Order: sequence, then structure tokens, then C-alpha cells
Amino acid sequence: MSSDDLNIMLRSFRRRLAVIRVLRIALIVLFLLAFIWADQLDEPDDKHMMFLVFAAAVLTWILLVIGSTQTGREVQTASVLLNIGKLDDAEVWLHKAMGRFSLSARGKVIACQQLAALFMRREQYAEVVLICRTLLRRRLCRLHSVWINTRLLLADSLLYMDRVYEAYQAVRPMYDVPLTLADRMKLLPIQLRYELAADQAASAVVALKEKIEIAELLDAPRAALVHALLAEACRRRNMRPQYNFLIERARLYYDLDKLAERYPILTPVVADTNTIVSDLPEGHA
Amino acid sequence: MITVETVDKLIASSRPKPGLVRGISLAMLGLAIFLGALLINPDLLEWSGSLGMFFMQIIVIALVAAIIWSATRQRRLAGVLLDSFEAVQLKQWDRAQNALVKLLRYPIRQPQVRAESLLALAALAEARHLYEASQRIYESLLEESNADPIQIHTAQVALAAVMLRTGQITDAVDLVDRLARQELPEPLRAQVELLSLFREVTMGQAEAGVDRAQQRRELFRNHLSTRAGYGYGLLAAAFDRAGQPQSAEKYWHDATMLVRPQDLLERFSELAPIAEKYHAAEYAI
Repeated sequence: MSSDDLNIMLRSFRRRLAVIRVLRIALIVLFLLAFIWADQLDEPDDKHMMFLVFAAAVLTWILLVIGSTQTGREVQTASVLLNIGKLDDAEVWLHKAMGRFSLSARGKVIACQQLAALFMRREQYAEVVLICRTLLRRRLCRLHSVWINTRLLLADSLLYMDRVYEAYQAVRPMYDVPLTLADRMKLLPIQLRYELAADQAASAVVALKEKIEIAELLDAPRAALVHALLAEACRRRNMRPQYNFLIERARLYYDLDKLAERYPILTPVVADTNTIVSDLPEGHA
Repeated sequence: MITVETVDKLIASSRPKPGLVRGISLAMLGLAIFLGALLINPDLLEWSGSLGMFFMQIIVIALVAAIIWSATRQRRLAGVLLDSFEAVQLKQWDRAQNALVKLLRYPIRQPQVRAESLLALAALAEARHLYEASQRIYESLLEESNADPIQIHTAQVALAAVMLRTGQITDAVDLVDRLARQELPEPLRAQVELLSLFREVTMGQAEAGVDRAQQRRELFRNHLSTRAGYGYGLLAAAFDRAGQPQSAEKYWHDATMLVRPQDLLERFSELAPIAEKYHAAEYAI
């Protein structure tokens, strides 16, 4: 998908959300007016019309729920395809979910956030930034997890693009709200990358013990990343024993060379590790 | 205190009640039907006085109140669920116990949520060495078979480990062999290999333990993250029994780099002789 296509799609997405807002209000007003009108009629027509209006309201609600459920299923399918690496198929399902007529904005917003995640997997960071900024123009107070994930994706992409201050602006509001453990686990690697990129190693080494406790809950590559980032911070602060401990732990989790390819900020740490003569036996980390 | 009796009560109380529509949903459906009937024929109830005049409004308010109450309750339970899972991840067992007992006191409709809560309760019981209680939970989950495949697999692996601890060797060996024969994706294979290694160490089968050490090490490193430390600890025990102290020492060093010695011994008391014999890694933080 080209940038122009993405821009067109996002404009259409914003238009649809605006239409959904207007239609919802219009429907509520319409049914209220219908009830009032039916009440003004003579008997027995008023009772019949009231019943018809009530039945129409229930039917409309059922249709909305069905539409919303279908959108939810499409998003779920896309999510599964994304997880197993079938990005093109996932994109098709997300387009379907975002294009389907529905009076539920929630499904479309989640689909849009998943689209950002898909572009992240493709390492198309400019597109991720565009999608995330479109999403953050909306009030996402009822979709807290979408708000969190969107900010994290935005900050992550901006860091890859070396737009460090903008990455800080993306995550800054997250520190004003309560974060779950899962949110803190997602935030920690991004926070450390920002602090090192912004030359704030002193902040990175604050509360080391707590940060390591969170890192231990992550999967191997991310646990290694956090340990290596903390090691780099300790290296800059001349905290040698902590540095040695963290780097040895990082190596136990994952190959640091692979990490350094993706995160060049780790190059000094990996270079330092590779110059150490290893007298560990074969097969040791 | 978690006992077998407490566990039985919580398993029973968390089981969803049978029936398509129940509880608050049934009440709401009844109110909605009554409202519809009243709309067709307001003279349905020949009540006089102010109560009769406002009866329909009272019905509508009751319906709205029921919906709000149901939504509030769902949100509260979701908060308790999140609290319990976080507490288990952070090994805050008292906090986990309070949250899980609160949660499992009421029926939980979604099977996966109920299964996850029961698995968390079992993890809590195991952490306190209450193996009979945890075994009861795993057996109940496997009998009911009302969980997703990964939860069922987790319950099987955990049950086999508990059986090894409680001396039910024949049953444990059967279950381990059955799990080992299954075609599994690598993350699940890693858990089964950890279990097989535990069986070999428990039953003194040192040669079997060291045979596939390198392959197991890679599997643990790639898929178990911090818990790979338990695998390295067991490999240290296997190498020690096979008369290879140098390898045992290095695996013990790696194990204690990832997991503190007291946590290793808490989980696998079989590692006590290894802890006495070999030096643990030093924690610089």
C-alpha cells in the first residue's frame, strides 16, 4: 500500500467515524420523536404505534450488535494472521473491518490500531506514525488499551526514525495515568531506548532492581533487550559490576549480535562483549 | 489458607450455572417483555394512584439500573481478575490469594477466563507446596475439558509435575510419555522437555538427562525466558549425577544468574545437593 493509498484510507476512516457519530445521535432523536408522536395518536392506534416503534428500536439494536460482532470477528481473524506472520492476509481482513458499515466505532478503531501494528511488522515506520497520529486525534478514553498501544507504537516508530523528542511526547501522557503490569512491561524497553537516545543514562539506571524484575517477566528477546539497554546505561555511568552482571544475563536470554543489528544503540555493549576472551566451554551462552 | 476443601468449593462456585439465559439477563429479558406488553396495553395492570401512573417509567428505570449494575459488576470483576494475574506474575501470593478467592466465589461464564483463574490458583497452591490442592485443580480442568487447548496442555504438564512430586510415579511417567509423543510447537515442546528432564532427575536417570543437554538448552533459552534457569538447574543436577562436575558447575552458574538460588530450591528441592556443592552466581544489583 502506497502512502497516498494510506492517506486516502485514513481520510475515509475519519469520515466514517464522523458519520457514525452523527447517525447514532440521529437514530436516538428519531426514536424519541417517534415515541412522542405515537403517544399523541388516538386510541388504539397509539398503543399499536408504540409497540411498532419499540419493536423497530429492538430490531435496530439487534442489527447493530450483529454488525459489531462481525467487525469484531474480522479484527480477531486479522489479529491471528498477524501473529502467525501472514501480513498480507491480515491487511485484507483489516480493510474489510474498517470498510464494513457499522454503527460501532470501537471495532473500526481497534482495526486501525491493528493496521498500525501490521505496518510495524513490515518496518514501515512513517506509515505507523501516520496511522497512530490519526487514531490519537480521537478521544480514546473508553478504549484505554488502544490508547496505550497506539502511543507505544508511535513512540517505538519515532525512535527507529531517530525522532527522539517526538517519541518522548508520544509516551509522556502515559505517566499521568495508572498503568497495569502488562502496560509497564510494554513501556519499559521503549522508555530505556528513549533515555539512552536522549543521553539520559542517569535516569535509565534509577530503580534498577524493579526494572530487572519487570524484564524477567518478558519473553527472551525483549528480556535480553532490556538487560542490554540497562547494561549500556551502566557502561555510560561507569557502573562496572552492574554492567558485567547485566550483560552476562542478557547473553543468557538472546544473541546480542542480533539485537545490535536491530538496535544500533547497543553496538558499544556488543563490541565490548565480543572483545572479552571467552573461556566458557562450547555450548555455553 | 488454601486447602483441598477450599479448592473444591471454589471450583464448584465458579462453575457457570446451566441455562441459556440466567440471572440478570433473565431479569432484563423479563422486564423488556413486560415493558413491551405495557406499551401495547397500558391497562394491563389496573393500578390506581401515583404508582399506577408511573409504573411504566419505573419499569424503564429498573431496566436501565439493571444494565448499569451488570456493567459495573463486569468491570469490577475484570479489575479483580487483572489484580489476581498481576499478583501471580509478581509472586505476591497473599495478594493473589485474596483476589482469586474473591473472583472464584461467583460463577464465571467465559470458560477460558475461569480456566485461567483456576490455573492461577493452582500456581499459588504449588508455590505454597500444597500439591494435593493444585492436583485437584488440574484434574478438575482436565475432566471438564472446558478450556482452550493451550490451557489444557498447561494443566497436563503441571499435573505430571505434581504427580512426580507426590510420588505418583507410574501415572506421572505415563502422562509425561504421552505428552512427549505429541507433535507440539516449540514453545510447548520446551515445557514438555523441562518436565521430562525433571522426571529424569527425580528418577536418577542421569545419562538420559545429559544426552540431549545441548538441544534442551537451546529450547529453554529460546522459549522459556527467565524460567530457562530452572532448566539449567536441572541440567546441572543431571551432569553432576553423570560425573561431569565442570559442566554441572557452569549450568548451575547460568541457572543462578537467571533465577535466585532460593527460588530454584523453592521450586525444585531436588537441587539442594547441587546448591551445596557448586557456587551460585553473584547478584550485583
